[in-house]
Amino acid sequence: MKAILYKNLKNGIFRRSFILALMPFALLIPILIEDKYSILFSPEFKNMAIVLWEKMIFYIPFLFAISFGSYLIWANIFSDYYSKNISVFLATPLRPIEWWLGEVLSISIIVYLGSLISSCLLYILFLINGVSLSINIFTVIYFTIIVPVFILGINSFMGCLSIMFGGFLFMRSIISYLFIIPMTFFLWFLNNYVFDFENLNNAKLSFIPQMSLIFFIVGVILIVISYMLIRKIDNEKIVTKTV
Amino acid sequence: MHNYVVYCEGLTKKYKSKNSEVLALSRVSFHIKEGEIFGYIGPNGAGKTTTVKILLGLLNYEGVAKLFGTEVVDLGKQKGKIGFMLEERGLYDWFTGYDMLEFYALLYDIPKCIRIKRIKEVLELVGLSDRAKDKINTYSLGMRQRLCFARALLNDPYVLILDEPTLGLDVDYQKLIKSYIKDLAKEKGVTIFITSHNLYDISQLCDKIAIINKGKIVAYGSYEEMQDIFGKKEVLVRIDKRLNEVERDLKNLDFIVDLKESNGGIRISISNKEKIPILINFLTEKGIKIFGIEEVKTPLEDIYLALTKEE
Repeated sequence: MKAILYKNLKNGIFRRSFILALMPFALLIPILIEDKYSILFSPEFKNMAIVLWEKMIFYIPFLFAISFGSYLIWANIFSDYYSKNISVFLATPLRPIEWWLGEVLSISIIVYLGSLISSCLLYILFLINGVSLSINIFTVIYFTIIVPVFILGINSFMGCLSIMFGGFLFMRSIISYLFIIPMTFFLWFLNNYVFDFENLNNAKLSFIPQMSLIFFIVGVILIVISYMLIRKIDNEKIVTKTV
Repeated sequence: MHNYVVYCEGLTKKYKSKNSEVLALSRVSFHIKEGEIFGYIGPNGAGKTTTVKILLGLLNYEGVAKLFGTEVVDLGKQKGKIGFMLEERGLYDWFTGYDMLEFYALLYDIPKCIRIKRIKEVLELVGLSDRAKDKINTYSLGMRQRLCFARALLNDPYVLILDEPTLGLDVDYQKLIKSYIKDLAKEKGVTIFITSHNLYDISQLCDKIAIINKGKIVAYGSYEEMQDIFGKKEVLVRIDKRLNEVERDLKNLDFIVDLKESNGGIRISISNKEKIPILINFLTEKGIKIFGIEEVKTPLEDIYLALTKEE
């Protein structure tokens, strides 16, 4: 497992986190455009961008986990399948579960760091614009416990599916699409039932502790399911499915 | 059985697909003692790589496959005692040679205090010290192969499983690696399992050889034993006469199978090696002067081709 972490560290884990962190800021472009270019963007679009920007501080960890995290982990695992490196790794004392754990942890670190950096940058931008978000105990719990567990859960599950089916070329796209559909629904649920964005002008976050518990439980359940599934995978299932 | 480091008995492997079942290995048995070099040869698709993958714990199997007296599926951390080279190289192009070995050192859980020293040693051995900090995507095919050999030695293995170890290497490094393999077996007692299409190397290096064809072992033993059983019984006789002068007389002998002129002498195929003294007596009685007589070794290639040719 140490070796897999080492591999991802050498592959620029922190650089990748920082690049990821900057990606959501693409939405700021219309806001930052000078007046003479604003004709390119309708006021509605500009308003929408502002609202999205404000919401993003809460969305980011989930967006990162669902989109970037799941993408990075299957890209990592599939590249080892495709290059057939996985046969070589498994011929060493490395077990499939350790491979899975190494990939999940290292990608989760990238995603968590990316989401933290991104959230902090957004928070600073809020402050610069005179909008202050109150940081309470729930916000702290949200970013230190719920978000990491949720990210780990999503990555564990995606990593497990990638290891189980990664050898099948057609499964690669199916996994990503199947994953995106329930997760889009999850974001919708998040938007409508968990966070209250009604009073964003006052920058008042209504955080519902009970719902954060649900995220925590979802994360834990995904970790447990993935662990149970990955324990049953033996080397042959991986090696013979190598493309 | 306990004397054998590698012990395979009745090893069978079937690949199942939806509608069919392919028998990749059928009751394969071989045993390798400590410090022995074992050559495993056969045509493409004969089952060599399947055997290697079974020994490395990558495939399930029927029968017995033991390393160090333990079934390979139960080896666990004992896999750290095995060094290997597979046809898949397991290298990342974006790693440097040094980083790649450090990655494998971590996989083998080599303690930090000896890791750096060991990496430097194996890099030195394969002549890659000066390229250790270069990325692997700048390496040639031969350099990648040498790096894989360095990886195989990294964990100071008790058993070395090498799939085509000299593939893509220039003559100098082929020689170096072959002599190192010999030294490892003789001086350190490392047990070595080699598959190769270079039959000359196999005949030179190996204490025991198995020829596999269509999943079955068709010949097993030392090169000498194989010659006794499967080789042509031939002697090269250097005499003061040409073949056409003695052909008629020699053909009267019932144990003579074939005659041909070769390398300044007459190459005589005989049905039984025990008939050589009779042949010498016969030639002497005929007043033919014998300058020399030597047994002709059948090249492993000929034995291999005879045993693996399509029926």
